[in-house]
Amino acid sequence: MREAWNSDQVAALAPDSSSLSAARGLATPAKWVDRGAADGPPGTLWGLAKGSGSKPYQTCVDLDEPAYRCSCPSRKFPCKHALGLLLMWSAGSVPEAANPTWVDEWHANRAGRAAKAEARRANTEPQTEEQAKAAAKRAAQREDRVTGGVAELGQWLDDQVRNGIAGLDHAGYQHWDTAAARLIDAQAPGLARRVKALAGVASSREGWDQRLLADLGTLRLLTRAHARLAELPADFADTVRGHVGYPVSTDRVLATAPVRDVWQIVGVQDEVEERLTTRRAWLLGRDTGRSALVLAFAVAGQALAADLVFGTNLDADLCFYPGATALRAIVSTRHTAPTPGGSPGPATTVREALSRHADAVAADPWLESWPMLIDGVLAPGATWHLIDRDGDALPVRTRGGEPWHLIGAAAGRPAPISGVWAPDGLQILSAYADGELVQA
Amino acid sequence: MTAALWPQLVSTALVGTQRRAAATITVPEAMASLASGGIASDADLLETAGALALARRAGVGVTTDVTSPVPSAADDLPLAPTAAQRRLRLLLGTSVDADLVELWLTLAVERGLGVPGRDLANLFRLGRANERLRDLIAQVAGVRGAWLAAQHKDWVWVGTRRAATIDVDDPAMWTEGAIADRVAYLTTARRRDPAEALSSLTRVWSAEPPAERIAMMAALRVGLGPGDEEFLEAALDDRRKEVRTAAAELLGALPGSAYERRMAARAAALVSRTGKKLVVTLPEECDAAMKRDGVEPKPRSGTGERAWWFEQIVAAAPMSTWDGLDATPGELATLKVADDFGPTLRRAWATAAVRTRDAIWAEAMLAAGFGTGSKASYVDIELATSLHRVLPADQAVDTALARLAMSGTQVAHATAIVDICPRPWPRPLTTALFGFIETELRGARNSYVPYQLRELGQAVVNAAPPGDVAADTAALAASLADLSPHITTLMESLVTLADTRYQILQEFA
Repeated sequence: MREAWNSDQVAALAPDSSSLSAARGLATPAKWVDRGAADGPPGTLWGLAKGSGSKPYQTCVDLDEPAYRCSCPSRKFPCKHALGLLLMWSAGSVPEAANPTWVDEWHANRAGRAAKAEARRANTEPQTEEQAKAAAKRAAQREDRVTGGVAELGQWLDDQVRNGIAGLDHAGYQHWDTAAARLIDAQAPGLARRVKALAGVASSREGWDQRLLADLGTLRLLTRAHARLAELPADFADTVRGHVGYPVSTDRVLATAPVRDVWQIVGVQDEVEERLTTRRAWLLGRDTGRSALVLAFAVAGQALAADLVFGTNLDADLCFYPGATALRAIVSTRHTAPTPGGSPGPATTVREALSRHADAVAADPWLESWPMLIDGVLAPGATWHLIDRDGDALPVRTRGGEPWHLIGAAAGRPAPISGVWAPDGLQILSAYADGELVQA
Repeated sequence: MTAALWPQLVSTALVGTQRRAAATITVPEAMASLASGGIASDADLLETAGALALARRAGVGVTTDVTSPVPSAADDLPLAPTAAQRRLRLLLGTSVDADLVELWLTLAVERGLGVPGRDLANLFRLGRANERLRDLIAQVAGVRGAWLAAQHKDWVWVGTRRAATIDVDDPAMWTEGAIADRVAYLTTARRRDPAEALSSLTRVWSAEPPAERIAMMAALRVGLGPGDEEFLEAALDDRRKEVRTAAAELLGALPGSAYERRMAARAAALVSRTGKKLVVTLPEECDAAMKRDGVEPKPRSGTGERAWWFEQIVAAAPMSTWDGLDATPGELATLKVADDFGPTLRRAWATAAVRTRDAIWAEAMLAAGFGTGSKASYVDIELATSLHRVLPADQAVDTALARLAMSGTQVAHATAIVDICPRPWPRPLTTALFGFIETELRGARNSYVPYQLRELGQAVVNAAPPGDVAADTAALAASLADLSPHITTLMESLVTLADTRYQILQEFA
């Protein structure tokens, strides 16, 4: 029997906190008519959940993918029944039992669909000359529109310093949102997001003027770089285009050379912004030492990809987005089902991590966050720090809550701690202590 | 020497280049490569600022002046089994059920087990809001928990609870401390040497402000003895009513005091027995001596003033007063009382029995059905549960069984029984409580389940031994299955709760 995921890993799959708390209520045998776990392949959990009607809901989870199915009417994904089943499993309360026929049918259906999709992909005809021409025309139009928008942004930035930035700390969101909206129209969503974020920088109190000028300045450098796009080395041009917000087709990413490794999923962060939820999975290659960021998006109520489970290892091929600093990636091929991860590595010192960060910024000046795995101790205080074995420290960002549970887990002894470095400090992702990876 | 570049950039950007031209910025030689053509335009200013910001971002240095925390000593408690650890983590998730956490902690403490380090902080946060869980949490915290709690200002209680009782014996606390510190010091001193502590108090008493005098009276309850009587008699003449009331209460708790004799004499004159009947004579007035002894002249609303004086006198008199009536407490509790004074007399006796913690009287009053039936007032029901608390553990269970079998027992009393009876409960008590719930549910006038009964059900399931309660709850649910949808829903939630508790127990096996 495979080792069950822990409750943190299950919690990371929940689409929202209300689903998770509903699932906790369902994670008791009294709520189930029957349930079982089968080794597979694929590893499967199944259960018949008591619902409000007379017929129980059929819930099953493919643990290898992972994938979920439930006959309940919920549009959440995975639904509370699937989560409840997983929680029971993680608590050791799902007995081994062979799959009922409805579970086998589901597996068969999915296998059939996957085969068909594979066949469709294989059959795709190469583009006709006309289609290629039309695509090139669309791309050229977009480039024109973006170029116009970026030039306008450069003007707007210059206007800010001409008029003086004093007072912008009280300018309100409107000031930034209007400029951001124009960039959306100009199909430069990356720039739009950065301009929108300036509102928060401007209202960040003490020292806001320094931070705002720094951001306006780096943004102005981005507009300058875009104006010289044709002269830039290909890698760097891709970096600039990426930050401006040109779309990169999945096919283009998949066409890059894959990097195979045992990828350790050391952090999963969800960020809810208006109606859009962004899930960031931070991966670290055990053998290559490379870091990767896999993004997933969902609008409110929609299913978030939940296939990268915190604290597991995945032997897979990753393809990286083009650019000078390859960080963002997609999983192209999985070689095995995810396995529970051990102590993540390779870990570095603070100095080593900062030096790699400097290299990364040199290659991509607009890099916003950079993952680190450091062997060290967390020290609470007015400002928290991560201190490595050499006594070198980095400030830790605690705006989202102080990770006291990690202090308790590590008991003041050095542990591999992963985090994401940003100008205002290291955002802690997880720590490995007491034989498990603990999420911040 | 030229001024540093960055401050010039910031100050120029703040006022705006239309007021202060960008060209006025001087670029230090070392920075020349950042702005090779000088700073002539707004774009130059921004790009130079951007380049400088990037240089700083890439060149962030390590901090070297932070000292590493001292690590925790080796753990002293073995951890709870893996399944139990997982359970705790589930329990500490979003909506915390403090009763389930209490069960978990109790099982862990009984077995001398600890919790994983990662869960300590969540437990401490829970303990901050739930006073009653603190002792248990402090016990499962272990060395590592104490180490962790010492680093957080909100978790100081973990350390203090771990050291079973704390003594405050720094004399500076007495001379310079805040009220709470001074009371703590005085309490510790009373535990050690009541007479010495009293003389410390008398030395400063007259100079103390009223608020401090009121607070310090509480410390005298510790080590109360005949040596305190003179001081307390004098305190009956204090300027503040709170001090006078506290003094009267303490004197009432001091066997053989003059105060007690005065109250006994007053009370004895008011109740007499003729054959199988008790006769009550109400006092004519509330004189100065009565007022000095703490009798409140103004009655609470709905009570006549003479009946009110009577009730206070009987409640303050020692139980030995009634030996003169030549009957056992059991007999007195059931005798008829002339002129409808029965409820008043019995309420006063109940109050006195609670005050003096007299188990014989408490038992007699409860056996006589005090606080049962539809006429029982809210005060009577409260008093009945207080009487029940006076009983020693084994007697409390027998009395509980008797009360539950009695007709007219109130749901509130049954709920009180849940925490009065010491745990683990004997099987018959669990059965009797379930029987009580069943009778109440079947007797409900409409199909709704009264809120009180829902609470009682949860309290019983939370308090009974998990092994007994799972089977009992399921049996009751089956027997009540077709009564009403509301009852079915209630029973479903109780069955789930009972199952969960049973699983938690199993996980410690």
